[in-house]
Amino acid sequence: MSTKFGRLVPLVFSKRGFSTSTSVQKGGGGSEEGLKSLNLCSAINQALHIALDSDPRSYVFGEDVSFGGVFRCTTGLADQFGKKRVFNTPLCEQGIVGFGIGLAAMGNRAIAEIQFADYIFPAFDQIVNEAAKFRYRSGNQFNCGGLTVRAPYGAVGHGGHYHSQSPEAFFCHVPGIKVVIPRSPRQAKGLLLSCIRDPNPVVFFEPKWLYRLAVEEVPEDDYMLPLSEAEVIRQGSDVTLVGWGAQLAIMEQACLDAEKEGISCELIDLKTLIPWDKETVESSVNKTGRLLVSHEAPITGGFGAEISASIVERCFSRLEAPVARICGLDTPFPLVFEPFYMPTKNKILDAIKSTVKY
Amino acid sequence: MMPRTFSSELLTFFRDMALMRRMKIAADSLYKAKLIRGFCHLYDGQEAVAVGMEAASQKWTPSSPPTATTAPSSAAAARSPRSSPSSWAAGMGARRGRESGFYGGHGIVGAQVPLRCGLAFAQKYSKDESVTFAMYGDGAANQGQLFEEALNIAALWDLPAILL
Repeated sequence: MSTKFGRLVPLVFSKRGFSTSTSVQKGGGGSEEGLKSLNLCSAINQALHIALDSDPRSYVFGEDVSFGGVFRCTTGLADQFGKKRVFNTPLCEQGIVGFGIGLAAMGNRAIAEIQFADYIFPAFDQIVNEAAKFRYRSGNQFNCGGLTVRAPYGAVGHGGHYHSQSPEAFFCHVPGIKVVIPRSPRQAKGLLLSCIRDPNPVVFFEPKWLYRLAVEEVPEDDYMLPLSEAEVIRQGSDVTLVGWGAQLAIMEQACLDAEKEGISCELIDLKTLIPWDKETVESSVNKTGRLLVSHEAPITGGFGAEISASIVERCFSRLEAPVARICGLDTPFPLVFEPFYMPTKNKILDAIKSTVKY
Repeated sequence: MMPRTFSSELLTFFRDMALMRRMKIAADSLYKAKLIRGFCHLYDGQEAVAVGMEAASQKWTPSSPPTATTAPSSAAAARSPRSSPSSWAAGMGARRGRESGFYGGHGIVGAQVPLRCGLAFAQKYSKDESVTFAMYGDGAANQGQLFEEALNIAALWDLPAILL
């Protein structure tokens, strides 16, 4: 099946009970015509405009979204689509997600915004015990697959304990939901549209550090990028680096510095953390013999540990060195000590060197 | 019979509120100059709540303030001989807060109110005849953990707690 946007492929998730039947576009997304330079915030905004415009049963709601949200990602939505489809909620995360589950269960597309990922924990029970199990416990008689929970996550340079956390690993332990994190404006738009239209509930974490910083050419068309399909951003032969979200930019800088020292790095953006693309990572590690995973969340129990364990299981005989994890420290997210906490370019570069020299 | 309030006390209340307002303005300027990092939640217009609470309470009443935490701590500092507003401004207020029953600010809206149930229970259990103040705003009032959980448990166990 093909369109002017490229080839469409059906994604079939047979593992972990994920349902099938979403057609999504493969590749970079969108035609090369009609490109516009957008930052990540504007790309999200454009995706939400398209989602609301293309499906009259879609709704956007959350704290302060009606006037544009604290990051301005929902600017103009209420004006264009009306306050019956884009509306503010009380400051009550459990209620926001619970409401979204009910709305989605009636066949609607519920796009819920949690103002910061740090605030998602009051809604944890609703996501884990209601949204994730809705289809399974009913034997597929009903579901809340139309639910997408958007939340800005990660460091921002000054956020401190309650505005900087990366809670993705908590949700990766939950069969029945998907967890998606984009690295750039183009990815953000295509992945968010895929998440909204996916027949499963999705938690979509947006790297808030990149809202204004990340700018690239984004197709203005309606396009979707495949979920559960990692992307090899940079080809290499000595070591495989795996990451997601804002961390990819840091890792890419480390790759460039490593290249100056004669080390060839392969860089992979996971994009979808659950269910994640083991095959792409496995194939790369079989080629390079080394793996480094990096994320902002604390190292203990972070999703990097799951990647590490899975790849050791699959590639044990091919590994030339232990899997390296360069992650946040096992402390609450600090304020003035943020530069020491973060998995920086230099930390990654040191780990690349020691892994290659092992 | 209501206790009398003297003009000297009223002047002290006004001085405390004015001092807090000046500190808010200073904190705002420092934040905008990027000399204060993180998030700066100010308390403009709510000074009377903290000052009234302090005026009505005895020395060892624990308080559990809302997200905007600078004013209650500076109010406590202004009333406490061991801690001055200048030491609070230097970052000492929160550290010394526990001495005067101040249990710090909380970044998650509404989360401080259930915590104060534990403080209040400890007070009741030890029979020290004090009460806990838990401060929250209109945003926190929407959180389920406040009314349905914290207030319910406070009423059920008859805890010495005041929500304001």
